[in-house]
This record gives sequence, structure tokens and C-alpha cells, in this order.
Amino acid sequence: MTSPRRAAVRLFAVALLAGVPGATAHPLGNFTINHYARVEVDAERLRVRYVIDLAEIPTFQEIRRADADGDGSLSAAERDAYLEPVVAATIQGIDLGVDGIRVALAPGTKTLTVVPGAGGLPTLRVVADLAAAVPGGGSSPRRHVRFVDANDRDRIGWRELVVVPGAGIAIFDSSAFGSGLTDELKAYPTELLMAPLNERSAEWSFTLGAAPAGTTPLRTRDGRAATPARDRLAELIVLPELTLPIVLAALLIAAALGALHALSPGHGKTIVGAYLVGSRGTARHAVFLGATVTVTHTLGVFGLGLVTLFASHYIRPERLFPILSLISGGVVLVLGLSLFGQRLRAVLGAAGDDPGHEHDPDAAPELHAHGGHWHSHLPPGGEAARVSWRSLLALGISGGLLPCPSALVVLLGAIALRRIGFGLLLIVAFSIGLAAALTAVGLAFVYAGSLLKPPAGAGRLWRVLPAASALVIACVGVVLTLAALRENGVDPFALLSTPAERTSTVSTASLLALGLVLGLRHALDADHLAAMSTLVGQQEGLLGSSLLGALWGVGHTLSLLVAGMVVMALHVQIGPRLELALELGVAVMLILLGANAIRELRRGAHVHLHVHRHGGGTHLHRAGPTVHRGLRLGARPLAVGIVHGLAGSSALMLLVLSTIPAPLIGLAYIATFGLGSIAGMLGLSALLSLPIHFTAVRFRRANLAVRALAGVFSLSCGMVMAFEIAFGGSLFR
Amino acid sequence: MDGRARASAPRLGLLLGFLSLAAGACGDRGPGEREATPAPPAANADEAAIRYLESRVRQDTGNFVAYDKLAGYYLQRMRENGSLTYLDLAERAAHASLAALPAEGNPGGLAMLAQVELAMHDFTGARNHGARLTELEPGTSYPYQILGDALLELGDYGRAAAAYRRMERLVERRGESRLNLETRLGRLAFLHGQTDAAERHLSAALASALDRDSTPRETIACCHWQLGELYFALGHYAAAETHYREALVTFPDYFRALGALARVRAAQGDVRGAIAAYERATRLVPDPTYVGALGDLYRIAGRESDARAQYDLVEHIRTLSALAGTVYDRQLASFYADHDIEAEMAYAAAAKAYVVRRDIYGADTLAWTALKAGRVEEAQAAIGQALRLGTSDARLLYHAGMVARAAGDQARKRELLGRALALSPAFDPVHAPLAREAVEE
Repeated sequence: MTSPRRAAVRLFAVALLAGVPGATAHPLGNFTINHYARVEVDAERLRVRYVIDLAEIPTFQEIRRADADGDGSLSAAERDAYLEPVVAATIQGIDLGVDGIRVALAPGTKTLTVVPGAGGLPTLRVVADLAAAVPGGGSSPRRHVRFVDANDRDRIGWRELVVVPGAGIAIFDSSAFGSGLTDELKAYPTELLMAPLNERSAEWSFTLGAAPAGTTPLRTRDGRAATPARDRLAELIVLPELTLPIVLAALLIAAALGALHALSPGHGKTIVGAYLVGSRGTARHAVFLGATVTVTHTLGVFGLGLVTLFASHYIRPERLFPILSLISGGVVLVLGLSLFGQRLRAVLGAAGDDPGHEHDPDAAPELHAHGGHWHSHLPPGGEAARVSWRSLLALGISGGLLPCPSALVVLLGAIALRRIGFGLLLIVAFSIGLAAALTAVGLAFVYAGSLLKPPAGAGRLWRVLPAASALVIACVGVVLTLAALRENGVDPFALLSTPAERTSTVSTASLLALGLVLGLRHALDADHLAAMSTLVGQQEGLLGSSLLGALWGVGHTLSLLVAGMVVMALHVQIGPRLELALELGVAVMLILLGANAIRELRRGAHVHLHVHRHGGGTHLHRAGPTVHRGLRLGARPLAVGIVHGLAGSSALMLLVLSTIPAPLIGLAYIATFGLGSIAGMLGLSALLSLPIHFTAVRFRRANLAVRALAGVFSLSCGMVMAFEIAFGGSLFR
Repeated sequence: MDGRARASAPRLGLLLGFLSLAAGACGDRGPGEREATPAPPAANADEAAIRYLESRVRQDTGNFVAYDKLAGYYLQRMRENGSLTYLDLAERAAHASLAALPAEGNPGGLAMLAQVELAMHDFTGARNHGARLTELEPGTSYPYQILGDALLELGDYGRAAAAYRRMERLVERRGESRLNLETRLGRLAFLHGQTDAAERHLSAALASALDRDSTPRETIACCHWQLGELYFALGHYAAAETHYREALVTFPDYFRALGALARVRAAQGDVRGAIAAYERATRLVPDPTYVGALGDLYRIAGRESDARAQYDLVEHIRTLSALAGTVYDRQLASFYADHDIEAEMAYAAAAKAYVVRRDIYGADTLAWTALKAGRVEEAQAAIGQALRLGTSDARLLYHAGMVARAAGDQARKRELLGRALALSPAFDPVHAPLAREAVEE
């Protein structure tokens, strides 16, 4: 550091140096009262969500005051009695003015919750929803708002202000930000060096439609513009003139907007596609789906509009959206699961060809028997996968259940502007556009499906496709449901976390994602490879091998879960000796597997081939004692997985576990780790079985060679491991 | 000396310890008024500076200069409003600064760290870092200030005095402001019972603070407050009250001045005024000393349930501070001893604190808690240590008198209690009457 700079720093240090700070100045625990206000700006109303977070010491005092009967807890009556004056005083302390005129805030819902804080001592959280009517505007469409919060002026605390625009509103020239930092005072940022926020007042301007040129749009705290994109559909309803050409043009635009909207994420294109791919859908089905969506969507908008107009005292429309999302997600989830169940049963039932064909000419043409088992050569689950109108209806309803907010704005605007007919036409046009796009997507999938025939010999993996697509639908349903739950204020991950974690910045979700990735990678360890390579050699087809891998993963996860539970519940440590002993067990197992594989080869387990013809084609079935287990995969992969899991118990997984405070999250972590390992091993064993599978039919010698190689690999791997452990490790010292 | 009842300074050391003389902000309201005023420009400037520096270090984590400045601002905020959050931020900023550039090239960062340690009561750490700073920055005065402060709190008064003398020489040689120096000399003088010298030094400090335009408001308020504390100890109530009011005018809602004002009102017999001031003070910063005193006053005023609420709050604070692992033992131990509850626990806490921090007030707390726990011999040894400098502190003398009483030495008891009551007859609304009873029995 250069000398002048040093001097400057020193000077500054001297200047700022205080004397000995006082013993009374600190170590008191938390005595702040934090305030948060979110102002939502609509054309006629300003809605304020006000949150007060009291730390442990003020909470102690306030609970004492509120606890009238002195029983130590707050009954509902006591909470109400406490909240009334508090909210009233809060309203008194807020100075809210529009265009210089002070507007009165009216209280809405108020809640008081006790949240555990440091050391389990209680903290209080008051949430109040206030609303004020925007007074009628003058000539200018621009309105100016000033918000000053003088509550608890003398107390220190976190003060946060957020301004958000309602539908169709643009906010500009704002001194407040458009986003919050603490999720309504639930999670304070701890990793940043940041003094507590001190936002006690703000001013901004707003207008309906787009912000005027030359103004600064509202920004979020990370600098992005917070103004929502222009609502073009809503702009249609406010067109100044309505001549016939303009109306027609507007309807076309509405239809186009609807089609565009359908192409944005949401509205179930994935679901539609997955469904139609997995079943034998026709064009009629696709059109029916589209029609259902149209009708549902239009009805939904109307319904919501009626609620807004007539029942807004009883039901707040904003509350309906999350509920509708939840229903929609739930429908998709249930549908996906039931489809998956149906199709999986069909797949598993249809698998397992036995040698020997028979034809029963009296039976239905596609049915024939091999070895006494009747089946058809349709894609498995094909019979079950006939498109049912009921499923289509369900899909269509779930797709259209959630009305687009823009459409709602159009309806309400139409009513306000007395252009009801035009508004209805616009909405119908929008819905038709939406449905047309969905139908087109559906048709595309239908025709794509019919173009792709399963290639010959692709075997069972292709037949799994319908079940897989149903699984996709179910997964989408899960995602939608979780998102809808969150919208409803139920955070599923919060149920798993302790209160301390809710303020932590490492989210449970990212922790679980880490577990998934680690599990995936974990499957690829060398000793796992070795064991699986011997096992897959005894299976036919990709499906069998993949499922082998999955079974391994299941066994692995099971033992990890058990070990994890033991570690967490009993706080035992897996000592180094035990760890080494388990690894020795794995080594021994590898040796045995390898030896067994080689032994079976020498015993002459070669590939049997059957040639037969039926249905006009010739095809081969492999047969042989080691092969014809169909999908009876046996307990061997499971057992191998369990042993591997035990040995791996002391590894990275438990290392991470020790940093996870909540046991439930720890188990969830193990479960996702296990899922990752299942998926990884599934893929890996599919890969491993490829050389065996492709050489099975034609290249017998190569097949034997590959399997022998696998056996030798496993054998040597195990011997090396055993050697290392016995002489390298400290097991026998 | 005014003819009114004099109160003794409760634990001046407690209060004199915190000479926060760094940049501050304030407004200009009359004391006792509570209408809303917009934030004063100085505070806004500080706020803007802090936000700017924070954004700088977010983008460049190696910017140790910004970290140093941030630490300084955070410490200043902490002195103004007593919040732990700022102390924590200051600590992190100081560590970040030293992480970006180690102490050899970054004495500013080390100085900030030492300041933080003083605030956190890690006096050994502050002492060591102060010593290191004297090596890194020879010929500058501020390392000796830090070192002296740490040594003082640790009870090593001889070395502390030596450090302050070196600081004095360097300040004079370099022509620096004498503000920090005078406050420390004043404190040292008071501790040694040299009350006139103490008054001279503290008045000089105030004059120095008022002399320069650039002195922060909180600094000026603090100087007023210190003078007030001295006069309070000597029983000059009117003078004390004047200075407290000046402090509040200079820096409104200055919680130390509010608490002190409450105390002087109680000593003057204005119970209602004292209660009002304590209520405001505890609203700002729930310091157990204030909370406990408020409880005592409620009890005197006959408001039993309110008193109970305050005592429970102190208990609550104890739980919280135990959780936070903070060093709050001395004040809590005193509270328990004063109110004759949890004697063993208070004694254990005082003994534990005294292991490291062996200043006279630590000895005094140890003696008082030992007495209440029935360990009279230990109390005698400890109170001897507490009086070793000859401090004219009424509460110290009162404690010593009560120890002598427990040991059966009536003569010594009368002598000590007599001196305490002569110094300030109403040093505590509860204990001064107890002292009077004990003398007359």
C-alpha cells in the first residue's frame, strides 16, 4: 500500500475511532420491531399488505399485555382484542396520499401468529391487509401517490417498502422498489454485508396502460424493470372507436393472442402431447380436446367475472386463482397416475414370452399364444391405451380451468365501458385461438405418432413408451400441484424444515437437487459397474437390464435409508473399522459374482434360438435357462444393491447428512440421493447391456466373450479391493 | 454543591466506559418532546454512504478500504442505537477487510477489528491487537488509545495509564485533537478518586468537541453525558441534569442520556418523571439496568404488576443473552444481587467474568454477589480490590459498608456507609434507604 494511501486510511481510522464503547450498548438479544409494507396499485384501489415482525424482547412485552387471562398462551379472543388497536394505530401512523389528497385505509383481514425465534423463544408476526379507494382522477391519467410510514418512528428495525402494479397498471418514477428482499419479513438475508433496510416513505406515479415516454419504469431490487409486459388483450377493450372493420380486426387479434398464449408455458401442451402419443389418438380426439378447452376457458372467465362483480365481498377473486391452479394440478396428477397404473400393468403383463408359439385361429386375429400365454403384438398396454373420452374431457377441463388474467381484465373492462357484447366476443375469440393452438399441437402429436412405428426388434423399451408418457403426465401434475400449493401459501418444503432453516438461504430444494446429482454420479463407481456388468449379462433386452439397474438402486437406497435413520436417530458413528469391514464385504461379493458369471459360462449357458413364424413374419426368440426369466428379475440385484449401500454408507452422503439439522430433510436427502442412484444405475445398466444384447442374437462367441470379460472384471476388481483393504487398510492391525 | 438530595453515580464505570466519540448524527428537538420529524440530513448522508459502500464491496470483495469504512459506520450506528445487528455487521466487515488484505498492510482493518472486540467485550483480543497496532503504526496515537482502553477494562490500570501517557505525548507532538485523550484521562482520574482533575479533563473534552464544526453530534452528546455522569457521582444534580438535557438536545433519543436523565430525576424525587424517562429509554434499548431501575420505581410508585413485568423482562433478557453467548454477566449479576434473587447464579456469573476482566467494577460485582451468596470472606477480599484505587463512587462504598456489616466490623461499616451517603444521599431509590437503615442500626 502506498504511503499516502496508508496515511489516508490511518486518518480515517483515527477519525472514526471511538473510545471504549459501552457495556450497556449491546448484547441484549433482539429488540427490534420490523415493518414491511407492500402497496399494490390498481386503477380504483390501493391495497396494502402490512407486516410487523416483533423480535423476542418486544414480543415478551406484547404477549404479556395481550394475555389477559395470564395463562401464558394467546387465545383467539385475546389475539383479536390485541390486533384491533394495533392495526388501528398502524393505520393512523400511515400517511397515504393520492395526488396530494389523503386517503383513508380500511382494515381487512388481520392475523397474529407466534413464530418461534432464538432458542425457541416466541416472536410475533402481525399481518394486516388494508385497502384504500383511489379518489376519482382529474383530467390527467397520471396519478401520483405518496406513502409515509411513521409507525414506531423511534425504534430501530428493518423497514421495507415494496410497490407492485396491478393488472394493466404501469408504475414509474418510483422511489420504492418493485420487489421485496425478505419475503414479507420471513427470511432476512444473512450472507450479505447489508445494514438493515430503512425504507419509511416512498413516492411514485402510475397510470393505466403503458408508462409515458421519458419516465423511469419501476425497478426490482436487482435492477431489472418490474413493469409487466403490455397487456395487449386488455388494450383491445379500450379501443376508442368500434366500427365493424375494427371489431373484426380486434377479434382476429384476440384469436391470434389466444393462440400465442397457448404456445407459452402452461395450458397443458405437454400433457396433451404425452397423452396422445401414448395412446392411439385420432384427429377427432385432438379436436374434441380443443373444443373442451375452449368451452372450459370461456366459462371460467365468465364465472370469475361474475364472482368479481357480485360476490367480491364473500369471495376475493385473487383467492380463487390459487385454488383453481390446485384443482387443475390435482386433476392432471390423478389422471397421470391412473393412466400410468393402467399402462404399467399392461406392460408387465404382456412381457415374458415363453418359447413355443401356438395359433388359435378362433381367437381374435391379434391374439396368439406362445407357450400357453395369450397375448397380442400391439404395443403393451395398447388395449388399455385406447383413448377414453372421459380422460380427454378431464384433460381438456384441466387445461382450460385456469382463466387467463388478461381475459378477466377484458371482461371487467367491457362491463365498465359498457361494451359487454364486444367483450364477450373478444373472450370467445381468445378462447378459440387458444383451443385452436392446442388442437394443432394435439394433431401434430397424433400424426407424428402414427408416422413412427416401433422399429423391428426394438423390443420392450418401445413398449414402455405409453407408460412413460403417463409418467410424464403425472410428473407434470406433481409440479403443477406443488406450485399451486405454494400459491396457496402452503409451502411443502417448509413442512420439512426447521424454523431456523426458513431463514437460511440454502433452500431445501437445492439441497435435494444436490442429492439427486450426487446419487446419479455415485452409481457410476467402479465397483458398482463391475457388479452390474455381471448381472446384466443374464438378462435379455434393454428393459430387463434397465430394470435390473433400478432394482439395484432400490436395494442401495434401502440400506442407505436404514443406515441414515440409525445414524440420525441413535447418533452412532460408523467407525473406520466397520467401514472397512463393509467394503471387504463388497469385495468378496464382487469376487463371488465374477466367479459365478464365469462358471455359468463354462457350464454352457449359451443362447438358444427359436425360429418360428406367425402372422406372416419370421422372428427369433432367445431362449435358454438363464434367459427366460422374462421380467422375473430375481432378488440378486436387490441383494447386490443392499450390500453396496451398506458399504457406501460412510461416504459422502453421510458427510452431508451431518450438516442437515432436520431429520426429515436428511431422510428426504437420502431418498433423492437414492432416486438419483436408481436413475443412474438404470441408465448405466442399459448401456452395459447393449453390447450383450446386440451380440446375443448373431454373434454368439462375441457374446460369450463380453460376458466373460464382465466376469473377469468383477473378479479382479474384487480381488484388488480385498487386497487393498487387507493390507492397506487398518482392519487387521 | 446544591442543597438538594444527592444521588450517587451507580456504577459510573459502567457508564463512563462508553465514550463513543465517533461520527454521529442528530437532530434538534427539545428533550421530552416526541413529535415526528423527518430524518436529519446528517443521518441521510450516513445512510447513503453505507449503501454506497455496501454496493462497492458487493462488486469487489477485495476492497478492504471500503470494508474498513463500513466497519466504522456500523460501529457508529451501534453506538447510536445499541443494536447488536450493527456490531455483528461491523465484525464481519472487519474480518472481510483483513481477509482481503492482512494486517501488515491493513492496519485500518486491524484497528476496526480491535474496536469491534472492545465493543464485544473481548478485551484480551483488543489488547493484543492494540499492541500489534503499536508495532505496525509506530508514532501514531490511536493504537495506544485502543490498547489503553483494553487494559483499563481488564483492570491493568498501571499499564493503561502508561498507554494513555504515550498517547498524550503523541497527540501533543502531532497536534491532533485532544478529544479522545481528555475523555480517557478524565476517566482515569475519576477512577483514582481525583474528581477535580476528572472534571477538568471532561470539560476540556467537551470544549474540544464543541470547538470543531466537524464533530459529529453524537460525540458532543456523549461528552455532555459523561460530564453529567461525573456531576451525578458527585451529587451535583442540577448540573448533571443540565448536561443530560444538553445531550438530548444535541442528539435526540440518545438512550444513554435518557436513562441517565431518568436516574437523576429519581434522585431528585421526581418518580413520575423518572418513570417516564425510563420508559422511553427502555423502549429504545431494553438495557437490564434501565429495566431493573424502572421496575424498582414502579414498585416505589405502588405499581406492583408493572414492576413484576419489568423484572420478568430482565429474566427474559438473561435467557436471550445466554443463548447469544454474549457477555452481559456483570449487569445481570448486579441486578440479581440488588434484588436478592438467584444469589448463587449471580455469584457464579460474576466470578466467571472476573477471571478475565479484573477491573475494580468486576471486583465490586464479585464482592456484592459473593455477599448475597453468603460468602463473606470472598466478599471482603474482592471489595478490597475494588477500592484499591480510592475511587469516590457511592455505590462502591455502599457495597463495602455492607460487606463490613456482614463481617461484623461496625466501625468500618459506619465509616464506609457514611462516606457513601455523604457523597450522594440518594444514589439509588432502593439502596440508599437501605444504607441509611444500616448506618442507624
